[in-house]
Amino acid sequence: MRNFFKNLRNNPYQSVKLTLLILAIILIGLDIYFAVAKDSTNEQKFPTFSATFKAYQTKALWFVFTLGCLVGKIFYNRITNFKYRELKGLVSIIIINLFLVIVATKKDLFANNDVPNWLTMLLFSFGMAAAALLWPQYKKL
Amino acid sequence: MNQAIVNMILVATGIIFVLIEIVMNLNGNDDDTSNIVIYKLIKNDKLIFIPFAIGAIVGHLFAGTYIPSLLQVHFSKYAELLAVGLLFVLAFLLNLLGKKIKSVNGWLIHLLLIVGILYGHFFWSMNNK
Repeated sequence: MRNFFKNLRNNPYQSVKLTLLILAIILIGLDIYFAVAKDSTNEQKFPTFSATFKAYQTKALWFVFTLGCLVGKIFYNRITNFKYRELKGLVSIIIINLFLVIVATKKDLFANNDVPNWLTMLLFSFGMAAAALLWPQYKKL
Repeated sequence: MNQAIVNMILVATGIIFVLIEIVMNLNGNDDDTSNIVIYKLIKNDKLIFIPFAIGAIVGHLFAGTYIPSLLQVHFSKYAELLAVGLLFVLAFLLNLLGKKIKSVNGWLIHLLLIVGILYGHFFWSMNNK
């Protein structure tokens, strides 16, 4: 554990790689367990992560947008040499997220909590575009 | 069903992820946030199954056809298991393929992302149960 924290400072690339790998393995393992586990009445014991997303579909509009941002940040990243530009992007994305959270509080926004596919995919694409256009990555000159 | 436990796990994962990102942003090193790490894994280490897997998850969660998929028509009971299994097999094959190719260019990454989304939409949908 101490080595890990030392590595976090000296060799951050490797330790981030390791942390992401561990997180991914834990999440995949848990999801498989959730899908398989049955309780005494032979009902499903835990809902899987995707079932959880489906159950909170309207409330998770901000999550769709944020995941779009994160995916856009991986594949359509840009570089800036000014720290404030990255911060500005982060703040604007948080503001959009707050807007989506407020919109989702409206009662019966979608019938049967069923957000149409085109809307989620559009929000996801907007998230990717927002990450590419508004949220560049800071890098020292 | 124990929805609250699953919610707590998801929130905890989110908090851990944000904390890692904050630490990595403030540690003075530039190229170590998770998005750059993942991009380097794809580009330099040639793990080209990552964009496919991300696309499949996106297609599974955010899209998903309402008509029965081919897997459901032919293997009604085991369709979901097969869809996940096929995803793992495809990821493994892509991993093998990645070792063969010389360099990973942007078009391949975007193509795999789109193919992943189509896979999640047509074969691994949750809307057609």
